Amino acid sequence: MKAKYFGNRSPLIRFCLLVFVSLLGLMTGSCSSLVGFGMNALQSAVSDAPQLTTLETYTLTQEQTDFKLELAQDGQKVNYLVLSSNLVPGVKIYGLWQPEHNQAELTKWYGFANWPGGWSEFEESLTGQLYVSFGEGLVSIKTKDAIQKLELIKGRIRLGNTIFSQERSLGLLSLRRTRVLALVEYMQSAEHAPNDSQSKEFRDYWTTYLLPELSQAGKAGKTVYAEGVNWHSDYSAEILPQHLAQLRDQGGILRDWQEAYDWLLAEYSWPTFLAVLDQGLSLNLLTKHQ
Amino acid sequence: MKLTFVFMLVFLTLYCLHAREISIDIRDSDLDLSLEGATVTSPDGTQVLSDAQGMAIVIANEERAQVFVITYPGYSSLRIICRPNDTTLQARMRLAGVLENQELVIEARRQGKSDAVLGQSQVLTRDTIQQSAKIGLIEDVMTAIKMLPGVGFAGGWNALPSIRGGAPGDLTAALDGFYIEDPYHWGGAFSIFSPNMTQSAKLSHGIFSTRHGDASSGLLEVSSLDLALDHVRFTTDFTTSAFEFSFLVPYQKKGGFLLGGKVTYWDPFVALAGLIVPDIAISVSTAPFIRNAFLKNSLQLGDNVEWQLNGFIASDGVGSKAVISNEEKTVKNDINFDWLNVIGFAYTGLKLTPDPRLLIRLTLGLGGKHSNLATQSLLNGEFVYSDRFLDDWDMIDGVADRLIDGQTGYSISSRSGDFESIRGQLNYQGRLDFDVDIGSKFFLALGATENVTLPSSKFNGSSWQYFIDQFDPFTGKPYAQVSERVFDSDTQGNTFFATGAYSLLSYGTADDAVRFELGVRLDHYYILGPPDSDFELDTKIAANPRFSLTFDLFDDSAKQDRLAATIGSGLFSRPTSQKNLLDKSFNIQSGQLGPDRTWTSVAGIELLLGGEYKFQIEGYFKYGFERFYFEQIYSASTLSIQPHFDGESIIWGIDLLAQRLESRYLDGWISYSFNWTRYRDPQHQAANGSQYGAGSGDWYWPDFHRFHSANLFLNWKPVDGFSLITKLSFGSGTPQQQTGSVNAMAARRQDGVIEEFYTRTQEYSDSLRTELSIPLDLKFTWHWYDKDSKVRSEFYFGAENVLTNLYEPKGATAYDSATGEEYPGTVSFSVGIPLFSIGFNWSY
Repeated sequence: MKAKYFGNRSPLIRFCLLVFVSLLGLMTGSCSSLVGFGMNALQSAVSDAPQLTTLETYTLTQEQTDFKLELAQDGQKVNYLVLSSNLVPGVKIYGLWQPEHNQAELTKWYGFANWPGGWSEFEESLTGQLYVSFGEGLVSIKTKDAIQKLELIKGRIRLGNTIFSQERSLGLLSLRRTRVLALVEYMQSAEHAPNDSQSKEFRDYWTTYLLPELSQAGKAGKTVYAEGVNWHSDYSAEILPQHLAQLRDQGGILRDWQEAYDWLLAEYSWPTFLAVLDQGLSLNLLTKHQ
Repeated sequence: MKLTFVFMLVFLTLYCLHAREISIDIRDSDLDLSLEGATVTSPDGTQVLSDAQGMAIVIANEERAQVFVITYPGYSSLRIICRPNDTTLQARMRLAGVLENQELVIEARRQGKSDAVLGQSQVLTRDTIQQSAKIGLIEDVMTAIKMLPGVGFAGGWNALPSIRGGAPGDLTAALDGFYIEDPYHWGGAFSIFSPNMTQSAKLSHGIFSTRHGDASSGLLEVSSLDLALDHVRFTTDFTTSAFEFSFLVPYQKKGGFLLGGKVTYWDPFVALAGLIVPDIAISVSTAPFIRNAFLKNSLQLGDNVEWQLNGFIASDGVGSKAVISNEEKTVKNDINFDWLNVIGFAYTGLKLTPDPRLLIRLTLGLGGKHSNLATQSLLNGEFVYSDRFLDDWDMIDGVADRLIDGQTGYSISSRSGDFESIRGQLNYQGRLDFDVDIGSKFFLALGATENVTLPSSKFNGSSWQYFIDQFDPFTGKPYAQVSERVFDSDTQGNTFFATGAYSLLSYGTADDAVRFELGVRLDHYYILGPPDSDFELDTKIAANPRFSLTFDLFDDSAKQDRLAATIGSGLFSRPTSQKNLLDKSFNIQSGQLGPDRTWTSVAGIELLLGGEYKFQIEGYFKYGFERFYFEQIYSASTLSIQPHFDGESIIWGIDLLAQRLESRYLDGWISYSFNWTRYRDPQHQAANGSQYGAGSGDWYWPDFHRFHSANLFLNWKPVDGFSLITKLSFGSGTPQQQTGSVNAMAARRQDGVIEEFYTRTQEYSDSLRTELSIPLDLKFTWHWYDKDSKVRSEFYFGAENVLTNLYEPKGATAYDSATGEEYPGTVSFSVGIPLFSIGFNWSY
């Protein structure tokens, strides 16, 4: 890469280019991180949600599955447990932590998904209990009371330079949730797809299957124009149930796929995640920070 | 059986010991209306109904969380958790919307100040402004405004376009409702409105509401960032020449605080360059700069009271030193130039809603402006009479010897010319508005405005001028005298009181098939001269009735297809910008003077297809009357002015817009404006000519007039995160004066020495025009989010006027008055090469 871009130029120009690219990288990387860190902190400070101070952080692993477990406290000294995993990308599960019983009363499911044009963040109410025990180099997690996601309770959307919040965003997110759940239900029932939702093959397969118009030349037949794409409605009807076929023809699946893939993936993997927790798992402790 | 009964009794007792009553408040999430008859199902299957207040009382377990399911016909079922410590629960039901596909549609028909209205206004949203205005050395909202239909082509480094035939300075501007006179940097090169501080920009050039006065050709309303948020926002920019930021913090849903600013950073670069190249340090005495800061604060003081406090302060300046020499280095002219401009304003407002149908707004503000322009020149040199000069003037001394008074040339020693102008202005504004919903979709608005302006000006200096008022006794040709003119003026200026009152009745909202607005506005101006001037002038009251009617010819809401038409007519007024020059000597009687008036009529049609494509055509006719102008009267070596109030104008035109609204892959618009504008100053004498050169009260094209202006704005997004933005503008030529040949002239100094200079005749032409302008700008934008981050990063690379090396429009030739040399004249700003710019932006 270096030779390709810098190889045939004079040393001075090469040096200047390198300095420019380095500065660019430094500025974009550091400013983005700094801005993100500072603003996240400030957002927490002005938010009406309880501000959590992390007391302990555990990074855990088992085969291909990574978990991060945080024990935190709010201003009233109420203990919280925050759990995330690469099985459900962008998701954090919050619960009230009862150290005396080694269990957490789950309260909410926080989800986040971004794409170059914006992001969505949302919270769903959650019920259930988790049992967590800490051993020597091992942490065990197991469902104690069935975990159940209920309703969307809060959310925000940024699209371009506009941020939707409160009831406006809740309405939009509610519609997206309905669509995502419908599509995920279909994907989970499909027997022809790769199983490993974390793999590139999985995404490529479903992208080609659901949205072939993005990568293939047009076919003959009836098309419907939406979101800048001519959708083949015959194909929609052939592969999808009626309600999803209509959604595809309107460009809705394209939008969800591009704008909230992590959300979709989290919903797709949610049953697997629950099954893993139901079964219980002992995770190797990689790091612990206090 | 008995045993079973006992067991159940014990169980129920125990159960009741761990149970308590929970009240659930059930409402519609959008309308906040109580839902009576909603069914609440407990985990044990027990069902209760909500009462008329939407309240349902259920029994919940004290020790563990339970889920209750709430259903209501037409609404999505809702599951809510009751945790052990809960005593009341809020349930917000949403209408069932299974797989609805209409989300994230930005250009939906929304109401409010950010909406374009057919026949009245065009609106740029924040996203469009970010795409189209963030380019160039200085990012400016006017860059985007200049691409709208109805806006005449203005070219680069010019934030003063002509709006539908109005004079460039006639555009009235307001920031969040506060009127700002002269909101420009660097004398009009850029506006003070930065894209980062702007939520939306609305240009009204049709039959706009009677709420607004003091505007005739157009009104630009800029809305700063919206504070009605529940989250922190931060934006920071590093661009080619400036650092900008804006920072917004909400007060827990009770308002918010916005702080922003901009500072250019050419100063260190110029200083650094000056260390390497000393000439730069010598020639740039003050690096060009723009600095500004703005503050916006909103606080909800109760359920019905909102308080606002906004402020803005800006400064700009530049200073240069130039040394101009001839090739032989025998002549040297040292020129210094310094410019400093400061603008500031602050205002506070209360928004009261004592009743849901009544909105009261009170705004009070103070603004100020100070500008200082200073130039100095110092000329030294030895001049040799040129052959061209001697061919014409050798005989001025009566001897044909290729010498003048026996000399081959002359010298000028320490001829200095200085000029300093200091202008200041204080402005007080207040307004009170009442908006009443009188039912059946009728709205009534009443209000009053008061605007007091106190200007001051001071200018002094001296200059050397050539007045052609002598005749050569030998040849009979006229020649000039060289004399120094010294001027010194220090005036407080006239205090100007502008009072307005309006009433307005409107019907319908943006979604109704018929909408109309009928109103009248009264504007009155009173001029009070400086103390001891014994000058005051009452003016005619201007009554400005306005009416507009918009109606749908076709509307298919499901497909978002709509065809609408509009007609409207109204009177507008704007006080003359030359009011500060009036004094008692003109002997103007009370009631003789009024504001410049315009009667405007507009008809238009708009087609919206699929909520995605918009086509609009508007035609307008404007008759201007009672326009103020100064007649310039030349007499020997003096110039005097005489005011008149009977200027006329006839303006008509057609504006076209074809737009593809915000779209995933390609959006943008094509706008085209045809404009026909003729002015007339009836009192001008033929010999003197009007301010634009036309004489004897003839109709003439004003010097800013262009027949054709067109713009293409294309935003192509081939892949997520990348945009290629193309801006192509077209402007036909402006009127060009008919010029004669450049002639050598002689000028006699007081010491009798003859100096050589050149002049030429220039007169108004009704047919000559400058060449057409076609600037093309390109912008490449990359934007992205890091994983799990809410910080949007953006980088852009822009190139303005990329065709400048292939084509540059020409106007009349210019000439050097010292040598008589002619060279091509330009009609638009150009540095000879495309202007490149870059920018980094991070926003949260």
